[in-house]
Amino acid sequence: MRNRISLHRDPGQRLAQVVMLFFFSAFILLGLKDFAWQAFALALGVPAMISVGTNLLSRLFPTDKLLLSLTNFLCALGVLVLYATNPNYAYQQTMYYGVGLGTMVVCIYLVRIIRNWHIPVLLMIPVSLAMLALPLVIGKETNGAKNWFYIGSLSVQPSEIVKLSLLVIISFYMSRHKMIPWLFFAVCCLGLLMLQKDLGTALMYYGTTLMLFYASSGNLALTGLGLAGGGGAAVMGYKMFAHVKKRVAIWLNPWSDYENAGYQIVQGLMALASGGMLGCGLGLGTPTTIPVYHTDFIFAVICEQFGLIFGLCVLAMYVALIWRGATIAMAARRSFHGLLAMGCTVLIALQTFTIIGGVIKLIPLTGVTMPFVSYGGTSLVSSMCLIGLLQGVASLNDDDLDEDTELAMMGDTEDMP
Amino acid sequence: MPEAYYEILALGARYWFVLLGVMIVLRAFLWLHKDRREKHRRLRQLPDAGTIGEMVVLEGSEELPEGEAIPVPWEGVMGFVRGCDLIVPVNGVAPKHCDVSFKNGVGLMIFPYRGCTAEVDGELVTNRRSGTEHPMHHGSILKIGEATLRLRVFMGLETDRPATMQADDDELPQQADAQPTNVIYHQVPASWEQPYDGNANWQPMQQPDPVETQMPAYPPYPYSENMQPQEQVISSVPEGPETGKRHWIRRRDRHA
Repeated sequence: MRNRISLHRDPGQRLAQVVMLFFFSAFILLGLKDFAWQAFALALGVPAMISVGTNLLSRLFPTDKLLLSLTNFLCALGVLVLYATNPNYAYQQTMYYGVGLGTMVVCIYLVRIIRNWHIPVLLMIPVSLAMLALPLVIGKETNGAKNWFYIGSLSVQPSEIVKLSLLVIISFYMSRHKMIPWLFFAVCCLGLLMLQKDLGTALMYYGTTLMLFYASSGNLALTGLGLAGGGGAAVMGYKMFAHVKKRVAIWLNPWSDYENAGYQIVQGLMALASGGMLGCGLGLGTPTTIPVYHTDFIFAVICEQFGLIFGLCVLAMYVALIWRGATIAMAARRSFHGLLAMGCTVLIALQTFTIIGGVIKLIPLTGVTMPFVSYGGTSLVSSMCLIGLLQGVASLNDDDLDEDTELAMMGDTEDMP
Repeated sequence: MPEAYYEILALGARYWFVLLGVMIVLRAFLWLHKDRREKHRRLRQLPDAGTIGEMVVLEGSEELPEGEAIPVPWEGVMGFVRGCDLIVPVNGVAPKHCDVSFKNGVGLMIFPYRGCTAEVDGELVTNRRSGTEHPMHHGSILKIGEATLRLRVFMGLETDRPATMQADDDELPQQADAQPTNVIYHQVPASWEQPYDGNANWQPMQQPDPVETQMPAYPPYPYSENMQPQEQVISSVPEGPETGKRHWIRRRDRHA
């Protein structure tokens, strides 16, 4: 992407330098704990990957440098925290990050190259519904939800992949003002997710669809009706599903059963508290006592190790990412691209709010992951794909602006001798 | 390393990591802010960015007087309400009357919503298909409700109708003999033709001799009753360079 900011001090370079310094010093510190050569290798490798990811990628492919920097920071933070708790998770996460970078580039080019999404969308609908139905057929129940299936040793969560096609399909039909196709697809997806008891993902899908509907139609009344409908569905879910009742009860008072059902939330809250403002120190504390610390409660681990101030900094990075995404969406010239970018942004925002809200007991805990940071291949790759779609729209916006500049200069040639 | 030493080191490093974390956040937001400022500066230099031209009002209302120009985006909604991209506050226009979409090489397509109609150069457009079949070009007339609008496309953008499409020569008034008495001019403001150079004492350049060119001949379409058939609407947009492309209205740009 062209460097739009012609300052003698590139802000991207300055940010990348601080980020690289952070991870270099963090991995060196972890390496000093056990004198593990892997930590020293990561101390050099992670900053190098950040530098390559931010500078080289942005020169080779049409990327948004700021988005890339923020994403790289969050992904590297996930690797760091996972290494501090379980190095095996960190190695796998690094591998998934590499795959994610590749899929991100593919998504960028898909947005840039495909002019007419009619045929791809028609193909996506049956394929996505089939993928979403697979866990019901061959999946295994995990933590009350049946939303995974295994291909050999590889576990796949199809709802993470289908959310990408959900965005494309809804954005396409909403931009054409065709209500029935996207409504049909959204209802089918929600129905399948309810059958899988993956209520957290259903909430993501519903919230994103509703926000996109409001963005495309501006109809506050219908959107309000949708919100009320969602609330009604939540109440129905509470009455219908026993595990939902349990989760709400635990959310209201986790101490009532802190040894069993409330153990996870209690441990998470204790981790947040024991970290204090500055944290208990990288590599110290007892983050592994939190059940599923590497996925759902990674934010609690971050706050325990680095402190609440750093936790707020991580939140601020997400805010910056969401702000950037919203800016890209508003600058899009075509409604499809604007809705697509807005959908990606809303999805990241909803997911972040849901998981962090659950960890700090603001809302009941759901089974969604923290974007870019949580351990999980499918989650990381799909999050990188979302960033790829955003970057594709951002690159089109910049191309349009450059074209406007060229066209504006066109008339001046007549005045030249 | 002994655990006690590591603990001291890690406790000391907390301040370092928090400091770096805060610096990262500040630099990220500073970058956001500078990027936004740069973008706004660039957009100020390109006041027509995001638009493909404008619709000039031939017949409007009190709120939309004749001669007013409405910028036309690449894609948008035309209607009565303020939330629309092209606001046409005229009787007979629905709150959201139609979608507009420009495709380079084709033109501006009008897609009326259900229950709404539009007329493009005399052809009735009622659905998406007819909107695709009757795209608007530079000089096309659009009638929605009681409003009549003429489209002007920016230079550099192409439609499927060539810019130099002319009627037969004998139908055109000869330039030397042309003494029109019942001609309506739509003057292109001088500021649109000369780029503003940022100079406070800026004066428009000396105007070239106006070239009165008849607009491309279109099939006859019903004008309003007040307009006489022999009146011709002529634009003072001059001919383009030797490429043969008509010199549409030039984008406004200001040099820093």
